[in-house]
Amino acid sequence: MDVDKAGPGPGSARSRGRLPAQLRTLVCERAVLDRADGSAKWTQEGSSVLAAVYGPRQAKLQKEDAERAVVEVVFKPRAGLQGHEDRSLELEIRGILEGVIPLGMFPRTSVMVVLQVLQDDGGALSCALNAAAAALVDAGVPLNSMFSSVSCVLTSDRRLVLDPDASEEQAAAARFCFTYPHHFDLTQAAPAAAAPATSASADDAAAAAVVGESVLGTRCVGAFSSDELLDAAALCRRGCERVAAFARLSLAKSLQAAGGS
Amino acid sequence: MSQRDADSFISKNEREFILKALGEDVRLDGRRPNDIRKPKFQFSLDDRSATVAQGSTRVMAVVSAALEAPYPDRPSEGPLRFNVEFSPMASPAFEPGKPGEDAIQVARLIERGLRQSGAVDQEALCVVAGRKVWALRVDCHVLDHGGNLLDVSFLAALAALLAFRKPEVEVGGESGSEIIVHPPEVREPVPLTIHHLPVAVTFALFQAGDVLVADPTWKEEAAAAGSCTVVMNPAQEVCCVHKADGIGLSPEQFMRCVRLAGRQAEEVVAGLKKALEGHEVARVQARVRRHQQVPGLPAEGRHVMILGAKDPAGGAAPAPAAASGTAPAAAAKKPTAAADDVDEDADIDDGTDEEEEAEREKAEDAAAAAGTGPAGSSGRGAKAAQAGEDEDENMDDAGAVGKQQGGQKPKAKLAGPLVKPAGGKAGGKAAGTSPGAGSKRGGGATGGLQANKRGKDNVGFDELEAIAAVIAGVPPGGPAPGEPEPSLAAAVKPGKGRKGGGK
Repeated sequence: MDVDKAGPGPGSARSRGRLPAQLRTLVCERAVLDRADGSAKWTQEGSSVLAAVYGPRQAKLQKEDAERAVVEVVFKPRAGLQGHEDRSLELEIRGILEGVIPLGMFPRTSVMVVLQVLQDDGGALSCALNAAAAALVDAGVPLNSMFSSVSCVLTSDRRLVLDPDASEEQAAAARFCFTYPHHFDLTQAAPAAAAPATSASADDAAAAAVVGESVLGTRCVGAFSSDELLDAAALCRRGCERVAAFARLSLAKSLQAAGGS
Repeated sequence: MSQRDADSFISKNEREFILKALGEDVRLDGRRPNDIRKPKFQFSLDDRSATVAQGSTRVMAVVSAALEAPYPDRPSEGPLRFNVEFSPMASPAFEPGKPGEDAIQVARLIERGLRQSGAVDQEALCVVAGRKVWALRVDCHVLDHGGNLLDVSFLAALAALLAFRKPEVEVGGESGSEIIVHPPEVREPVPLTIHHLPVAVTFALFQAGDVLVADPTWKEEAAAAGSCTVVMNPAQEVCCVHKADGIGLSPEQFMRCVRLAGRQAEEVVAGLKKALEGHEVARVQARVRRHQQVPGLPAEGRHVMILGAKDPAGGAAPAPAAASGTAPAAAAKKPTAAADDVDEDADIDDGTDEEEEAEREKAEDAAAAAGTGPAGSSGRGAKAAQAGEDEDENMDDAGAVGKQQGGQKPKAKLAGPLVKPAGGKAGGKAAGTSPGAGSKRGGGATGGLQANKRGKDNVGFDELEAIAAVIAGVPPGGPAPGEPEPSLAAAVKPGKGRKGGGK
């Protein structure tokens, strides 16, 4: 698996010369909506998803659970009505969020996460999960750990390519989307940081994102061997490190801006 | 108080405060009763959606088109359907699931105002009568509820329809048995035919119908006794009226509504047109970038896009005036002898459709002063010469020149050549923005002009591609391996474009 092979050449046809293991440009805007408790708009170049979080708030009688919070996810596609694919994505996202939110802390409440796809150029599920993470932080919902998500595809010549756009997804033999939990190790002093520092200059110690070993959720479509699956998991884990670093940077910046610095 | 009432529940104190303030002609957010919040528009680059934000209300409308069989009783009309969804993210009161009656009412009003008033030409959507027509579907997603969802959804739907481009279609074979849909890279997609621009204005009624409040916020809606909506276009024609529930209106108050709505409609449409113009510039930039990445296209580029119609130097700066300003300054270095060359081409007149006219307008705006664009009169060339002599290239000077050009725009539009001889435009663009290849730029520009002279049909796509590559400062084979693609947007920043090129 030669992920760092330089492109473009006749072998790699990624648009604009993106390397196989290179993510697209990430942009995250927080506190985008007025009425929602928390909101975030996550853009990965051509794909953009707006997430809004309401909660924890009182759950409806039929839906409430006496012992834990209920997570509701609504995934709305860009055009047309919700289809089966959208409902299945809702279920998956709900599964991931239930693993991350400490449900036992809020009995009889509900946390509603609404995701609206604004533009879809590949990797919409990852984009949605990242947006949901940012929106949950914006809403101040406590989380067991942060998480980030990245997609990759297996091209027809059995090479793994990270963060595909729509044309790459269409042409792929298999598509993967992995979500990894991550946290930041603040116990290490800046110069002694063992892992490569991912944020260049920071007032606080340049804490490195430590991505967990276990996957929070995965969605794989297509035919692939088990080795390819493990390679994809490892590749996505590396990608999640970078997404995590970006998410932290963007949060720090928006807090600074909000704090009126 | 359950969540379902979150939008209609308002405390007695708040209600009385709103009414008292209205008694003094003041509203909670400081507006006067007849002031509407100014809408802000945002369009997507894939020509399919528009987002309108009016105060804190945000609605995104998405247009999708599909070739379908028409309804049997209307064989030459394309159906146009509207769907409005109150997304649960917009308000705690909205619940997921099928649209409720409020959403359906908004969708119905939008349909009356945009489809039944004849604003969108449905016959223009016909491809093969009785067999295939374009079926349009507009989905309005309400993202944030800050009041007055009807007006903002209406405006979003209109903006999306104006920004939408449907793929160009060719019908061939006997009895139209073959329909070829051209992708946007091969043939420029076509805008819809829209006859007039209706705008909805909603008034909330207080005090037994005596007090009218335009564009209410959600708190004002909760405190109001009734509402009335008038849909008008800037030509002061009433397209649709909706007065269904709540307190009654006297005829005088109703006429007041209509008059106020007429005035607001003009302002809103002016803002919408301006936003669309700005979007056109960004569209062409994106088109250039897209064509740089698609190498395998056919060599006879006869029907291929109007590359370089919008001078990217024009696109980089926010205001069109400033845009045309940078171009004259940027192109000032170009030898003014070129101006003479192009004046000859001014005789070529083209019967063009709306879109090309609009594009030419832009091109003139942005690249006209260069003298390489369609110079309607040699007076323009003279101005460019002046700008050239002026070594002090500050924006004010250029801005003034630009504004003068703007004034001459209507005349120049008809005399303009260009269009199919896209090489000429690309040449103009090359003059405007080369970030580094000084000598090549000269070559590219004259090459482009010569292509212009050869005649419309001889412009090869490879040539255009080469010109575009030169502009981006990229060697013709594509970016070197490992190098990230030079960003065209970075290359065309006004400062860089001027300083970097042609010394």
